[in-house]
Amino acid sequence: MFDSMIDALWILLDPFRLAMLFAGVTIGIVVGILPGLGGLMGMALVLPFLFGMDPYAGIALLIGIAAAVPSADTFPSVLMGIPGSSGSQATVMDGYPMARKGEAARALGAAFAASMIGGLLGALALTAIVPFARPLILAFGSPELFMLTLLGLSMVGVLSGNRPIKGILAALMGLALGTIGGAPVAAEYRFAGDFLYLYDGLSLVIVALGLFALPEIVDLLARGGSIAEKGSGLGSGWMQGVRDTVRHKWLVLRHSVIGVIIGFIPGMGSSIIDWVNYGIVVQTSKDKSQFGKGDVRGVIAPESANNAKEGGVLMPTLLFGVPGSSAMALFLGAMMIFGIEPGPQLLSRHLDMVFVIIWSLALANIFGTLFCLLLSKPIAKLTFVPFHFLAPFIIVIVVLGAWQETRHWADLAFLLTFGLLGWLMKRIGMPRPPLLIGFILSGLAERYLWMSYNLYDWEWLYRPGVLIIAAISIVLLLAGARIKRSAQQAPHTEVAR
Amino acid sequence: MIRRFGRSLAKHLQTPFIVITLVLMTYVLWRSQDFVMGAGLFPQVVAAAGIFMAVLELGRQWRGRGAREQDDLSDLGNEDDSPAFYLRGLSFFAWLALFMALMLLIGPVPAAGLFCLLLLMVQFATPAKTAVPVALSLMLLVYFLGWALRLRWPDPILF
Repeated sequence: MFDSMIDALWILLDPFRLAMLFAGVTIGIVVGILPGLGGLMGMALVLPFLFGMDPYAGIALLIGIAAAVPSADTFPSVLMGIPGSSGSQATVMDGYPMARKGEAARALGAAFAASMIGGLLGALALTAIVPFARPLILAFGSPELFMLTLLGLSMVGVLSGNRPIKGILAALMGLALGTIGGAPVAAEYRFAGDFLYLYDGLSLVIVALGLFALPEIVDLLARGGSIAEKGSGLGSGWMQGVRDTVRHKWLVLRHSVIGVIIGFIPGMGSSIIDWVNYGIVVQTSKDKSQFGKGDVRGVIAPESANNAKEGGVLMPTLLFGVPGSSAMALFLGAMMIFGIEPGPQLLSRHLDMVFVIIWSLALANIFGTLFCLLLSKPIAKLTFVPFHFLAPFIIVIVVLGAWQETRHWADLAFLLTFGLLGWLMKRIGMPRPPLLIGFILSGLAERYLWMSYNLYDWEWLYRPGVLIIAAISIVLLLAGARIKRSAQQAPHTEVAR
Repeated sequence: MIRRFGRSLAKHLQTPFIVITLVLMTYVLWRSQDFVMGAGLFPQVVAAAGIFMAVLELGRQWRGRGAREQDDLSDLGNEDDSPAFYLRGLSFFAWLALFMALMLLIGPVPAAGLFCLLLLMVQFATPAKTAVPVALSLMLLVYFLGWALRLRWPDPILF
């Protein structure tokens, strides 16, 4: 196996293949910076160029895109409060308040350093899992997968702060919105009427951009001035961010491992991973007073997990031919173009390709992070530009990004509707993240619940995996209640901004 | 006094919001009775839980009437509460709608330029010598993105 690893490195060090890896990283950074566009879009863009290309170069190109997007999507999350992609929604929670306090470069430095370490740990985990993967994948049945969706929903307790009832109600609104369209387990279209657009359900990109991007843009325009509320320069904040990451090395390690584990489960998706990790870091921290107001740990945890998960999602994709995410479904298609059939036989027939993928992932994370670190200082200066000069650019990109979803006028109408809903929720103190979590988990929860019931009746409730995940969920909920109590008892400490 | 009115507005908006949620959840529960078992079970459970939580929240609001709510860690920032701020916010939603309409009418590249010019010059009283280069760079960016990423734009309705 070690020989194959070394051979694979030499294969990848071919100048053309390295150039393709660089090209992939560059495309990934551009796509990641633009809100609404993600790894799937980037991969779809290069797919037509793969025909006839050297397979190693083509795979390096795709892995370069997949690895760079989770690093680059931090820019809009931190600088504008707009999730660059579905995997960077939780980064907004503390990254954006840091930017508003004039600490954008520090937040970006911490995020990129955490992303690189997380990405490398993900590649390492993928290497380590290769011999033992099969029994692990087979241990997760639909009951365990359903419990994992409940684990994601239990994050609502944390993300609702001291408003748990409103938070749970928002999550239920999200779950209800997620039921619009075709039912996952029956041939029935729900709440769609005769409107064809709704037959596929509402788009996550539209809902996320509407709930989080538009309200921030509108509030910043209405408030006037620049994004950063204080500070006249960036200084060497980005190095401080790197030091923050090094100081919280155990946090990075822990959340990278969590990112790999959740990424390993097919269909869980990057949008869940960052929220789960954000919830865990809030709950397990002794001093919670700064979360949501600009705590660097709230940036480090989701970002390390976000990049580490790429190693996780590649595991079921490569080893069982089960795409770990929508982008990985496209990656599977690309492998088929090259005549490589993913699955257990990949290890015996194309072990060199498996290690080329792992090396590409590791190198792309390093290149991507270095690019982003170099860019962070000039791009962070944008937070001091009067916002009305930036707003037209952001509005146009957000609207055009939303249009790319299905290219239907209803994309725009729903974007505006969810923008108004998010803005109103912000005004009345109704937490928005639980609505998004509910929406994301709705389809999964319904599908896994129905499958569990059909396969095992209610016997599935006694499976060991189910009981373990249920215990973790209860601990998370109780911890959420404890946060609420301590927030009510302790005098409210507002940080001077 | 104006600020107090704003806070009061925010406080009183939350009750209609929850009432609307309650009505929508009731509709979901009622409508999902017509679905087959596989399609109806999940929305029914969600809607029933939603109705329960909405009633609970209304009760909480009634009990806590007059009391100021604490800040929440999931809020991204504490913005102004004044009615003027609300009106300004809503006016920017109108600007967003204008850009969307322009995009469908004349295509994204000219729409981006026109929208940028109008927003900067009408809303923010920016001099033309500053607004025009900003609008031109935005048009260039949109054109470049469309070309480089092979994005598909809407066919303009007018031409």
